[in-house]
Amino acid sequence: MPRSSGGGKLHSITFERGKTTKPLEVIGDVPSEPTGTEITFFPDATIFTDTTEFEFDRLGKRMRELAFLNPGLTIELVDERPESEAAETFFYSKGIEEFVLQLGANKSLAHPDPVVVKGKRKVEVEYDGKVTEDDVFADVVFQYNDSYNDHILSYANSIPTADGGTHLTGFRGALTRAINQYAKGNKLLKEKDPALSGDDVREGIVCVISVKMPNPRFSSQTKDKLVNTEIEGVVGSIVYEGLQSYFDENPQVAKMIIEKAVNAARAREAARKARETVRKSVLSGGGLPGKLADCSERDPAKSELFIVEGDSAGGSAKAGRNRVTQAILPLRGKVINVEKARLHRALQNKEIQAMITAIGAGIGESGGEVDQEGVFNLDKVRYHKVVIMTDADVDGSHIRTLLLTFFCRHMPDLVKAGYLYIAQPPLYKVTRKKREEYVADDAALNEILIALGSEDLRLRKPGTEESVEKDLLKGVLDSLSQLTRYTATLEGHGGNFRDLLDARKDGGLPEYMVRVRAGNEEEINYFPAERELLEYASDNRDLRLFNEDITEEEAQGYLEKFDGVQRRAIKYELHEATAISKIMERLGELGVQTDPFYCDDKPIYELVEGEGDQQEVDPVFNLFEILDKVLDIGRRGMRIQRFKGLGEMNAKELYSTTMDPSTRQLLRVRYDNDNQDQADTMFDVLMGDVVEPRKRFIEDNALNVQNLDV
Amino acid sequence: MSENDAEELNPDEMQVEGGQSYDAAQIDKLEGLEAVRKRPGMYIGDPDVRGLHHCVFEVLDNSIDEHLAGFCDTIQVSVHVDGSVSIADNGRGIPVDMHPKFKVPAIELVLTNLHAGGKFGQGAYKYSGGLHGVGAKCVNALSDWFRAEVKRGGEAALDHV
Repeated sequence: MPRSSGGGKLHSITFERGKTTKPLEVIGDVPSEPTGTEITFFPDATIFTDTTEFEFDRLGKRMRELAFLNPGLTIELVDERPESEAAETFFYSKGIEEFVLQLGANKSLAHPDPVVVKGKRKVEVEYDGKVTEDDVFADVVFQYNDSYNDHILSYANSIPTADGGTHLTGFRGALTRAINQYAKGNKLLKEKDPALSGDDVREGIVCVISVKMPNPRFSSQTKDKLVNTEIEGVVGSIVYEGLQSYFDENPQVAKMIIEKAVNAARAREAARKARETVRKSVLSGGGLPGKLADCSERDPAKSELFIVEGDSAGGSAKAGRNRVTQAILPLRGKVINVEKARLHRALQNKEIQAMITAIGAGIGESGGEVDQEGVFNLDKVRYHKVVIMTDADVDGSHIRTLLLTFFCRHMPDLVKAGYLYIAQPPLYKVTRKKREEYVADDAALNEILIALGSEDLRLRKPGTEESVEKDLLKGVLDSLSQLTRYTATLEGHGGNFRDLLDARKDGGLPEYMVRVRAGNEEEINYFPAERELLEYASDNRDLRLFNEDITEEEAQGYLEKFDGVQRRAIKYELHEATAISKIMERLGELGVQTDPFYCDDKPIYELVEGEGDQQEVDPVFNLFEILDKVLDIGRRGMRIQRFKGLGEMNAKELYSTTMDPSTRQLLRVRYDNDNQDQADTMFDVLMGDVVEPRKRFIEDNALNVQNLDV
Repeated sequence: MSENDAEELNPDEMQVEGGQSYDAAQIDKLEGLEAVRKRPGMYIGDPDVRGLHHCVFEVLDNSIDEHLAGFCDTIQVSVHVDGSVSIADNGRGIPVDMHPKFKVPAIELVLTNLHAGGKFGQGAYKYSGGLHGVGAKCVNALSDWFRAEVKRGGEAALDHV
């Protein structure tokens, strides 16, 4: 802000827990421009007892939102902590229009450009009994996609109103009126047709509403709902008038929106009928689905429903369960993907019907249009624990995702109430000397094998008595076990751990890898850092490692150089290198030499099993052999059974490992305002129509999964 | 008390509230922020990970208000190596002049007295979220330490210090 001439001063004041400890003082001269305020604080750990660690992503999410809502404002976020160093700048010149585009990024859009409506109206405002006039600004941007849900975000003076309020009501009414008006006026809807409902015109809409107004009032301290009554009319008239002129100027978009709404109306009518059928089937003939083995308990708080993949596992679950409190519903085959099907088609699906009738509370979101038949009612839910129990394989996880999608989309209140759980069946059964043990996953199994296998074992330098301390051996084995996960990632990309180690420079592991293919030949190159990679890229421009533009002549030159074979290359940033270095360091601390890691001609270490005459010595030529050997010894005298499916467990096993409340582990599914957007995006990516982001997601996470349980 | 009253910097009302003497006024101020420390939930929600981040957003909202008022186009938020966080803007700077009635710099008043407003003059923050003026002082109360640095003219103000 321009200020009068003369230099500026830097003023500082410091407080501790709200008390002034250093009064205001001038600590320096600064130019008169720019002015500004900088607040720095350290949260009080006696108040914030959970944590005082700020999270980049949480801060970033709100800052991005603020940047969308305040076009032209630049917000920079910098994390200076070395372990989480990051920086991001948020700036959106087009504001919420860009917000809407981003929200729809993974969806199939019905029209390329969002509809933008802006306007302002004068309202009377009372300040201390004095009535003045002030402007209220409303910005509304929306865009339709081919999904069946609506996604509307509303803000008042940049504050998110999760429960909407008068600005949202104003928009919804105006949208419905404007669309019906245009449809009737242009004969897109016949006179005798019923008017399109709000639900119809909002199907598949992504919308952001932002109002700026004096004196906003909210229904609660947490500001979830805007209650200023005058705003409904203001937003309503801005949107209605704005849409009328937009539709007149863009008749194709108007036509498309109306066709979409008419389709939605038809589907809704079909869904209503289907829902009625479902409701009738609940009422008739005892109501509950034939496949459900219900529990005898009538108190929902004490009742549990297990939704089980497959009839055979369903059979074991029925035989093993606690009949008083546990009900079993087996599902056959895959559940319909509700992300791709309309509600009425989903409702025709037998498995979905069975789940709805078993849970007994209807379907859809509660609240809103409550008069609709079969609308979800949380009080009617018959079980306060609904447990998804699927196999520990790829099919099982797919079915689990389909079920999660169904519950989050069509019974969101059940999930938000915390009633939905996921069972954790064990992956292995380990039998040793008549003792049985169930093991959750590979990591847990390895841990057991390492503990057993290293009991009677020493690691020593060949021909000496210099050995790694017994206590440290477990650490060595754990480190090696971790290391195998990273080498698996590396090998997944076509790399080789030994070559990676050979390419070490000054002890540091390479940061980049390039895989070059020429005909049937493949060559892997490692690069210590970006500089070397750039050098290589400029010497081998035909590989277009950085998408360089390359002239026809140049390309020809390279072709000749490589006997007419076109070379192709992929570059990888070796994210795992840092983790590998850390593990190597750790091994060093434990007293294990990691250089050489591999040696062909003479053993680097020896594993000694037993004592005295019974003693058996195994040479070790590479460090991984230590782990292999220990796992081998651990497996001796042990029977390991891998459960491919729940059906492979007998009834008693299934109950004691997965269903018995005193021993089982359940995961509760969390779906609330905090993570809803994130979860929705995830469903879009995983279950929606657009293939590209799904591929990218799966690829991105292939690496993350490896890192997950480190 | 309505939002409007809370925001208003009304010297007469302050005097009644603060008592007759300067010292008494000080004590009242501190008690105001003690209330925040005793029941942080009333001001920032639960003191969990959400409440923690809410502190940043409360301070950030003041900078956004400067933007909405037309005086600020850049805000920088930094998380420092020691775990503290800074919110810097290029707005007008919180006023540092001495408050004529209370003989306390305005900045100190607005960062410590729960009932002194962030609003300097009628309608300075016409399009603000409503809680502003309360937010930053709550964060102050809930901080181990809290430092405000202001770049602006205002030498005249400091003549009294």
